[in-house]
Amino acid sequence: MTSDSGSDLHAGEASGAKGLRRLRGARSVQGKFLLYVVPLVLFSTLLVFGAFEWNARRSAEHQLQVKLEKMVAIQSSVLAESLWNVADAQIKLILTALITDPDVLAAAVYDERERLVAEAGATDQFDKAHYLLESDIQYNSGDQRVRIGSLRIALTDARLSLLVRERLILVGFLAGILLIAVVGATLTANRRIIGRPLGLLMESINLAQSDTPRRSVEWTSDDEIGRVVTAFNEMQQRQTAYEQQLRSANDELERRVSERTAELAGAELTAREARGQLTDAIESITEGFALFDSEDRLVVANGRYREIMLGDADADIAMGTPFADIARRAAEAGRFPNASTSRETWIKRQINRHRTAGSPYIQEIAGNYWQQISNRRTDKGGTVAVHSDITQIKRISDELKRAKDAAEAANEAKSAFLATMSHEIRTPLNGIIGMSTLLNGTELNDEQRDFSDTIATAADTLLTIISDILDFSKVEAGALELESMPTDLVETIESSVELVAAKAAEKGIELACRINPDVPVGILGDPVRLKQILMNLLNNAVKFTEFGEVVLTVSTMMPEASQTPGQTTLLTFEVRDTGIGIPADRMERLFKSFSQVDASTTRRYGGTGLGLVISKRLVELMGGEISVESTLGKGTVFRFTLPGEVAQIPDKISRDAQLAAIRGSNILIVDDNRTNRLILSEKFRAWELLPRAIGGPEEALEVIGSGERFDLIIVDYKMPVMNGFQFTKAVRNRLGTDAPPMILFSSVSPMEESFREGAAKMDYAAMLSKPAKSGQLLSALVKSLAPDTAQIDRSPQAEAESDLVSARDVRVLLVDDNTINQKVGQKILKRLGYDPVVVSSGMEAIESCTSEDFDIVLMDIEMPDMDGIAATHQIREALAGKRVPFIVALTANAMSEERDKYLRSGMDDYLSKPIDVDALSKSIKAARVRRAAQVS
Amino acid sequence: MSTEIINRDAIHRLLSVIGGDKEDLLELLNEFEESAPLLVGKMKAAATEANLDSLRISAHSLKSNSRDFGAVTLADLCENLEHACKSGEVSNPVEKVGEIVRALDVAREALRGISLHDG
Repeated sequence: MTSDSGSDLHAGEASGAKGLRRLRGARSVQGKFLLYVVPLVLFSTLLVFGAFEWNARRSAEHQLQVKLEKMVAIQSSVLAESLWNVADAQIKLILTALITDPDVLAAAVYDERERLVAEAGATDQFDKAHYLLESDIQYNSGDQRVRIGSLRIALTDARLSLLVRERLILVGFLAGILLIAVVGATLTANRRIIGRPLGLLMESINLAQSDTPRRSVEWTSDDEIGRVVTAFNEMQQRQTAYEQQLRSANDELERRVSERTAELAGAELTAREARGQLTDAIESITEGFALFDSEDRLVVANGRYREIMLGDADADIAMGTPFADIARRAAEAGRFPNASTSRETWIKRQINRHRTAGSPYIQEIAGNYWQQISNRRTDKGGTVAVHSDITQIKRISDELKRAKDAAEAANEAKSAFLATMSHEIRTPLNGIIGMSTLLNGTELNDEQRDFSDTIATAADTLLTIISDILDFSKVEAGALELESMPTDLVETIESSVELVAAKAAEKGIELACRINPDVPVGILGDPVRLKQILMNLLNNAVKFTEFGEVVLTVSTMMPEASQTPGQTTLLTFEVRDTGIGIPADRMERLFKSFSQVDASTTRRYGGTGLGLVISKRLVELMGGEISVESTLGKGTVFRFTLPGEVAQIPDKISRDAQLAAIRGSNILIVDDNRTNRLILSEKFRAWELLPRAIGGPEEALEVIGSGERFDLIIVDYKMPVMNGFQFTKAVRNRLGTDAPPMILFSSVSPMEESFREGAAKMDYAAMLSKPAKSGQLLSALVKSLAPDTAQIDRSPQAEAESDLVSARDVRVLLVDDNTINQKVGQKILKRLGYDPVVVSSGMEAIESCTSEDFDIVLMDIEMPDMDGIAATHQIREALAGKRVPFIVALTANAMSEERDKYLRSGMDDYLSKPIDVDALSKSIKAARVRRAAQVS
Repeated sequence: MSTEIINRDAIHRLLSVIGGDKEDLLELLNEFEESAPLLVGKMKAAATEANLDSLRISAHSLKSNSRDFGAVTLADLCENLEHACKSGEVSNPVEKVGEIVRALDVAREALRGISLHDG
């Protein structure tokens, strides 16, 4: 648009310049016109007057010639007489008269011999004169003419020239007037006819050029100029109209363009503002922020990010910089202490973390700063990195951790101290109790007995208090671990009540216990701790009640769940008394450490005040809640809830039924080991069976051969002379179909291939490993002697247990260098029904574990040559990828801080020596559970 | 506590742990009678050779066993020696072993009395 108008402008200028040049070369149409007219006028004037002059001169010259001839003719006649007479004077006179004529220049008369007679005028001019005529003078003497001389006359043209000159002046004058007239007329006409309209046109054009509004040219004439002007005006009008149209179109266009431009600018401004706001926002956040595209190239990063990565908020990171470069620069800038040791690895790790965009991670920055980095994927495959400064949080958390560790250490130390102290106190206390008991056994008078009883009671109380403190410290240290075993609720509750009954009776208070029929028989729980809680509450109730009654009620809020083992139920225990009650303002202190209702209570009723605190903690540990309601002077109700899984309890009735089913059976025991025979016989007699124990198989065969019949034969596998299989064959051979069912006893691993195959062929009624637990033995007997009873009365729990056992005997390896410990351990394990393999060094333990498959290894820590930890390590290494036994550390280092150490060093569990039977059986149970899980 | 050479609680505990069979307890006591002098012999040798590692292990074993039977004094002496060996500073080990030997004799005597009395 603009360029077009520019080129128009140029064209205008060019045409203007051309016009100027034209003007300069030929000033004006007038000038040009004059240039043609003036010479023409001059030429025609000259031509006309020239012709006229030429004609006038010719006639004047002719007249002069004629005059000369006449004069000569006349004068010669005149002179003839005179000459004849030789009148020279006369002749002279005549000549002088002649000369008066202005036209005569000179005149001379010559005689017949051409001698000058007379002359007049400037006869020397004869040669030059244009008009010269000589004529003979003849005298007429009778009829004969005689030549007597000659006359010569010269005429001058001076008068003619003068006339010519005058005429020339006149002609010039006339020509001048004519010229002026012509020029004037031309100029006037030109101006009026051409110049004026042209000027107007010019003015109009110039006006048009100077962008002032066009003006039509006011000129009317019927000539060409007039038509040109009209045409021009018309053209101009059209052009004006056209221009107007153009201008309005242009205006419209420009208006639209400016509108669009404004819109565009507005949009751009909005975009720029938004971008600016975004940038400001990104810049203003305290977190380091960076956006990377899908190629891991930087899109935008704020100053904080640059500061974190490069240590300088103004550091230059160009857009498009790959993350790898930034990581490298960060590493080179020494921003990350971790990068200093192995830079390449560090960078690789950063890139990897950056790409995977996983969960946030924490990183140290130079100067003991910490940041948390979270990388997120954007929808377009880019990555947003947010680096938060968590230095403060980290410092606080470190401090907290330190404080916590310190507090825990202090607490641990406190608990350790308490444990030690209570142990140290208990030892002499046991002495006191023992001695007072002994003392009571001696002969004492009443006073002495009273003293002795007081000592015993005091010591007993002290022991209770110490137990409380120990429990409390355990609870406080979080070291109290609850059992989870099938608990006979009725037994636990009733035995608790029973223990308090004596005290209640002493005070004359009614003590009652009511267990709702819908309460389950058993739950999974810790019977010892449940008993402790109940004892606490009951003892309290009895202690603070002088008259009336104490009632324990047990109910359940979920009676339907209570009938199904495995379901979770909620029990409510309530101990209601009619005692002194608790003031309302003291209620909340009730469950706080070392606070009884008031100091006087402590003095009056004794006790540490820990009982309720411990009870509360225990209830909470078990997942229940404890609460209290009390009316001062009326009584108090303690209520606690206990969630638990309903469990099946071995049913005494069904056991009785089993025993009844097999009662009186004749049983033959064939075993070369006397102890085994004795144990079994004793046990069988207790079950009202009729055992017959024989040490040798041959002897036994003799007895059978003699006709004595048995309902069941139990045979040991490993015997001298004849093994269990051979004996069994022999019996079956002899008795045929009359042969009684047989049970095989064995200490051989049932996994031994040959043994297992042999045993399978023999088709025993049952196979038991030595020494058999009572329950297993009874089950086997019932199964063999009264299969119907076994099926009907078999309890689910027994079933579960036999599943665990029959899947495979639990194989126990005991590792201890100390022979006494070996024996103690062996005895405990046998008592629990296991048959341990015993080795006395770490090396042997490794050998045993690699050659045999054990379920559980009890590993002494302190051993010469190779300690238990090292042995455990090697066992784990040797069995890498295979099934590793459950390894339990045994140590005399009793503190629980050691426990973590052992668990960290690869042990599965930890038992302190001297071994606690419950803890050991629990640990083995854990191993069995794991084993069962692995087998299935 | 010179009167308490043997802590009866410990004996009862041991008895209950192994299942309450007094014969078993007797068996263990016999084992102790036999093995303790062997351990003491090892300790003597280790003490004269100043082999702290061996001394420590033997002391540990004797400590463990004597604690099982409630021989408190003996166990404590053994524990002290064990700890000393652990820390690497045992002043006059031979004399310490001598003390242990005397304490062992006292304990064995006491154990014989107890086992007979209880048995």
